[in-house]
Amino acid sequence: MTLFAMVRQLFHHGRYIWFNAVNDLWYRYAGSGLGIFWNVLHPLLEIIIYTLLFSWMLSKETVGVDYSVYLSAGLLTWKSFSETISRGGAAFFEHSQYVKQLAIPIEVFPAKVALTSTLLLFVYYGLLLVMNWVLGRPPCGEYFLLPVLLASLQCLGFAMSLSLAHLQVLFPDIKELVSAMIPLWRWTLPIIYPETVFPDSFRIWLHLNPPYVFIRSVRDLLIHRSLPGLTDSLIMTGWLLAFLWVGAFVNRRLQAEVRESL
Amino acid sequence: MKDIALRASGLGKCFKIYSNPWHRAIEWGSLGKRSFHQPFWALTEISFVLKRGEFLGIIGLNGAGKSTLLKILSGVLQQTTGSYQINGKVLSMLDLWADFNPYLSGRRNIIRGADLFGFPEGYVHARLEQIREFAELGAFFDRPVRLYSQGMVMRLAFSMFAFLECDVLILDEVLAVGDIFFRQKCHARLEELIGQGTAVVLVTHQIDALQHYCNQIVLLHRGSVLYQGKPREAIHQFYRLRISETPVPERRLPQCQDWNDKAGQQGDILWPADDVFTSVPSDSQDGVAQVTRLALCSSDNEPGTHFAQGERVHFFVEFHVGQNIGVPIARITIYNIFNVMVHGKDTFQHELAIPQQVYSGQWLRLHQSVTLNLEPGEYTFRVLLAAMSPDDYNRVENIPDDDVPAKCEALCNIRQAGFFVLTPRKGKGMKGLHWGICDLPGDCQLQVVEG
Repeated sequence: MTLFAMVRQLFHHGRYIWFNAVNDLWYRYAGSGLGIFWNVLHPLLEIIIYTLLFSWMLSKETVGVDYSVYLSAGLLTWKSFSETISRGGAAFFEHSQYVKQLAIPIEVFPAKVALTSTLLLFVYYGLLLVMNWVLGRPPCGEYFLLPVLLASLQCLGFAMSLSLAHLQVLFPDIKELVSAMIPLWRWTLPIIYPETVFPDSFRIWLHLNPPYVFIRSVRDLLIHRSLPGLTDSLIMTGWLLAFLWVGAFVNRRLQAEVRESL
Repeated sequence: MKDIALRASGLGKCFKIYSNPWHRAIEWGSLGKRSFHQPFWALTEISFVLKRGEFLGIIGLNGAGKSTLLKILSGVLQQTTGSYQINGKVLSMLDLWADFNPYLSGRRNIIRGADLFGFPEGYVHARLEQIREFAELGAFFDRPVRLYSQGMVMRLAFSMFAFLECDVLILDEVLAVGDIFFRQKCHARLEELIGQGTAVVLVTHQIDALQHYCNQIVLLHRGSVLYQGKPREAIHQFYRLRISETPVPERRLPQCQDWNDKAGQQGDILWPADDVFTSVPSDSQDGVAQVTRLALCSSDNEPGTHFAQGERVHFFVEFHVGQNIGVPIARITIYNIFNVMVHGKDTFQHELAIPQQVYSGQWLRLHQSVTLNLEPGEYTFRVLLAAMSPDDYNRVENIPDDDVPAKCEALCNIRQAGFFVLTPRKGKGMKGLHWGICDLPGDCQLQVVEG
């Protein structure tokens, strides 16, 4: 019920969220004439560096043939997801003026941040697909699921950031903790290194890491054109609903206190 | 019931203050059995009824709870006790520039703002032209807001709010926007809105606006209602409150009716009892002479800082002279809120018999009385002491006027020695006793002549 109410509120303010997200994207590098280009350059450089580094350090067998695609898919997805969490978690601070003055539901602000990074993620993937095509891998019908998977991962990020945003205002220590943990978190997931570095018996534990299945499914779809199986779909839905519910619950319980504390 | 726009009953707000943020978590953990916070009641028991087309003013000193009340009414904060009902749509303009995106043009910002306040798409498009005209921004209307001056931002914001329809409009200190012509336009627009049945809640320090518009004023003090009702009485009480709350120790209000008895002992001038005076800190003065204390009394011999229009007040200032000086010249000058010198007359201009010499270590006492035939408002006064050599003083008629200032040596100059408030007195005229900033002595005759 809580979750349903929150979703309805978000839809009610949908136009405002959309408008601001697009603006954010446009003005993030405000004043630098090339605007959105910088958004793309950052991950591009990172991909190039890691590709060069790993293809030089590791043999082709460990990494697999499609390392640059493997890496790009993982890195871009993770980048947007972690940005949703870190920026979404700080959304109330960033928008404290609005939170204190305007009578709109405050979940709108993390939602706006999530939408911004989702839009950017779609731009990344658009470029990635074009690059793939150039490299001889034309798009296929299965790719229709790609935006759905990416969007649900971003929803997971939004749900997590919503709880974090509230907690960070009330407990400033959590803010520091989150900014310290996010880079570490990245290395607990097979994003830069291949999954095969883990022994088979350990890999099952990776499922406890919520974004893991999402990232793996996206990759499988992109590289092997295989749709996620039933188990994976259930796990993803489970994580998503669980965190959304927690987020909505925290949002309902703490919203008033957060407004006072800022 | 239908003509009531806003009804608040028993509103109260308590903030929890935690010395350590984690205490909150411990409270949660104990499921409410333990309490680590200090409750702070920012508001208690606020009730009022506001009908359509009515204007409610909220006044109070800083920290009285005005903003908290507005935030509750506009739905930003949740009240701890009580409730309120709003019939219709509420718009609140708490912080004018809070919601403007600096990179968007004024036009885009208005479209976005209307969106934010839940107006349907296209609603604002029909009014954009009116808003643009009202804001008088010219070509800037289509330029990014970050290029605006603060005044322009506020004009844009007010224009936007002025053309979005609502049933209750909440304004926080916004009528001081722009130049006088724009302000007049704002006032005209507000009256239009009231005429259309919009109820307005206004927080302001502009007393004239309150007096002009308000049907009802709530005077808040430390979170509770000190007075609620007619504007005149509320403003009066507000001034009294402000005076008693100023740091100058004035609360005792001792009587000084015995000054005449002591006049003989203290020399030839009127001089009140010691406890009437307030001291002036010496570290703020660097001249040769220092003001040791000063007092301001009404004609009823009562010290105070608020007087009625046309009342005669007495200034008493005591100087301590640090070195031998010539003929002392002292004066008190009165300034209005716009820093215009309204009146000042020194001992020289009063043609007093003045000592030719004052020696180091002596005290000088100045008593000056003025009839305050001025418009109501707030005033400050300045205390000044200068000296002239006896030779120059005695032949001052022969010195060209322009050279006189050079012959005077400034000994002490306190720019903001004190302030007082003049409250209006009801006159037969349309606007109190007179028009303009001061009442000049004069006569008036009128005759009907058969044609």
